[in-house]
Amino acid sequence: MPDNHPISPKAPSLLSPVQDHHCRVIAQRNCGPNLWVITLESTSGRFACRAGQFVMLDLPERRFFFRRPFSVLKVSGEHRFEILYKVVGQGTEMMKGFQIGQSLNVLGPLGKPFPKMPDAEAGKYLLLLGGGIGIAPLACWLAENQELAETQEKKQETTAANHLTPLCVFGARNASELSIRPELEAYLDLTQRVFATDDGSYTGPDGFSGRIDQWLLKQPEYAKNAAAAYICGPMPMMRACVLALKQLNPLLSVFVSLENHMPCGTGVCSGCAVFSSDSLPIKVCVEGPVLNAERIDWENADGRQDIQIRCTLSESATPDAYTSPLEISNAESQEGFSCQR
Amino acid sequence: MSTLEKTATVNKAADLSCDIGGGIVLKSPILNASGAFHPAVISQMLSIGDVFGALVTKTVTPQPRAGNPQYRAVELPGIGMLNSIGLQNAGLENILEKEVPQWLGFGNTPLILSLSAETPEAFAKMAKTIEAHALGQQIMAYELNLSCPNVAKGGLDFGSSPSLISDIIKTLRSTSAKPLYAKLTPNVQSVLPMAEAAIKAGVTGLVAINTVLGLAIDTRQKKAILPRVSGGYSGPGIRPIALHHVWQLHKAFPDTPIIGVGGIETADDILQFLMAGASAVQVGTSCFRTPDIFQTLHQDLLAYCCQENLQALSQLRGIAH
Repeated sequence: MPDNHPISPKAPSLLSPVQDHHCRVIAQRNCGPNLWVITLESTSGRFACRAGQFVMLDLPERRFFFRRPFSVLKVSGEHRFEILYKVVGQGTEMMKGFQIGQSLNVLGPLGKPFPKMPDAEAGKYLLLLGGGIGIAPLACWLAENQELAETQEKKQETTAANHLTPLCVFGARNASELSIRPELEAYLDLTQRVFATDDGSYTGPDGFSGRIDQWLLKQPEYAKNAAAAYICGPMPMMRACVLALKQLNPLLSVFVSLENHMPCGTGVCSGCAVFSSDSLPIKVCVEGPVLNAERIDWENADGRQDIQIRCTLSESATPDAYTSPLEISNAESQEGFSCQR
Repeated sequence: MSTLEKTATVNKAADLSCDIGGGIVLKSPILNASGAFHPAVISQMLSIGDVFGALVTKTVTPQPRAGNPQYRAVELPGIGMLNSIGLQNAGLENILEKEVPQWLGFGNTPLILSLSAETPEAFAKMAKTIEAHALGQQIMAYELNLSCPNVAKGGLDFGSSPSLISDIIKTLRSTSAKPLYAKLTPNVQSVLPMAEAAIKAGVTGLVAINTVLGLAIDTRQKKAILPRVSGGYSGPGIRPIALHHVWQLHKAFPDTPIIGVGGIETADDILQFLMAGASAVQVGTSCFRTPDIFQTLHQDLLAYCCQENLQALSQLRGIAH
């Protein structure tokens, strides 16, 4: 585990104050089938967010009782940030209709971020594996660390410790859902990116036909030479990737970002808790969402084998949010609803 | 004097205090419901000490509990939510050491510890442990969680047995001098025998109601969403049920203080509970979306007193009967 990672098993149980940012909708754009990016600006202060952290977005209508958790896609300046979301239920349907200038409350940033660039001693690559809209916090991580690298270059402080090559493998069901591919290409050269589609519909030179875990097994040298892997996506995708990585490189340090239902998002209600490998509850919202994969009981993390696939949604109380059994058997699905946190 | 200043002056004079028995007078009738709220999280959004009559901890059990598998909570748009947390908590000793100090850190706001155990003796043992602890004296009262519909137990649910309720309260009474509040489950034919047993055994007041048993089915999966099938239903959908029980309780036991809880979203909802016979109220589900709702409720109650030229909010207690 990288030394600078803030997650410690001995983390204090004390809860800390959170800020409710009063935000304005600055922009909203469609970026694929049912995929949207909303840009928000805080009018109540600096929005200091790190990649992997999330916000609880308040849908200003009385029929809703939970805020919707989303990880942050991009931070611009001190007050602006973007969220990538997929319309899967009543809440995200409403979000799609938000008008420019509309105001809403956003609690956050919340939770533990992805670690910074790990030390290079353990390998050559840092694998960033994102499924569906689970690419959001990883794209955020790339941008954050790009800036960091540039600052360090300016200061001429680049050290061997920062010479890992990030290698991104981002997956979706099909090419049209590889929503923010063009933006990612700005950070990554051809050797640093793979876009995997379940149906093989993306055929670029950086394309792969199949799932991310299949890519890992097909190109084992990357996992074997990796120093760490950061994963975000639907639970089945993360589970499959963790299993593949453990098989290829048992000592690899792997961090996943979980995406459970979060009624409060602040550690109060325990509604999002999953079980650790030693059967202790982990409050995903405050101990995570980014967790060392080793801590998680992958067999029982989401409690129920029969509905495990579905549980990646924050909105599954609404029927249209469910993944059908067909999609489940198909896919370890790059359902793209990932990280609807 | 501007209108605003005038309002402020009158507001200051409005008396929101409430008597919840056991010699306790709270300065505000607004409390949080157990399990849905933590003052530390919102401490920058509002002044806890000004708004809350008392704080109620999440339910503490003698030993740590890991809670139920996922899902633990389901939103029911328009009507509320279901929960099946399973009383996850760190256990009495840890909570006394690590969490109670944080709960006590908000001015002089009194603290009510919510307790659950499996036998009357276990309840009494908890009280002994608490009162032997350095912080024990600072805990004002106990709320007894006599029903947790989502904790599976072989035996009878405490909340539905007058004799068990009576045993718990008598045993606690012989151990502890602190005020005791029995939180009643609505999942019984009538709450009145439960309340009567609690009152005869020496309870200080009643908290009505706990969550209502409810169910949601995922029609695509053709399965219950919660792994334990049914869970605790809360939110505005249960408000009429809660009001009904508060009314019945106040009618039957007019001298017993009642803390009303169930689906409160506005000051008008609070007024309804007071008029039905409650002395104070708790707010749970609404603080998920609006953690600082307590501030709004407090301000709106003050504004109401001002508008109605009401000197003391407590004058409304049971007024609708």
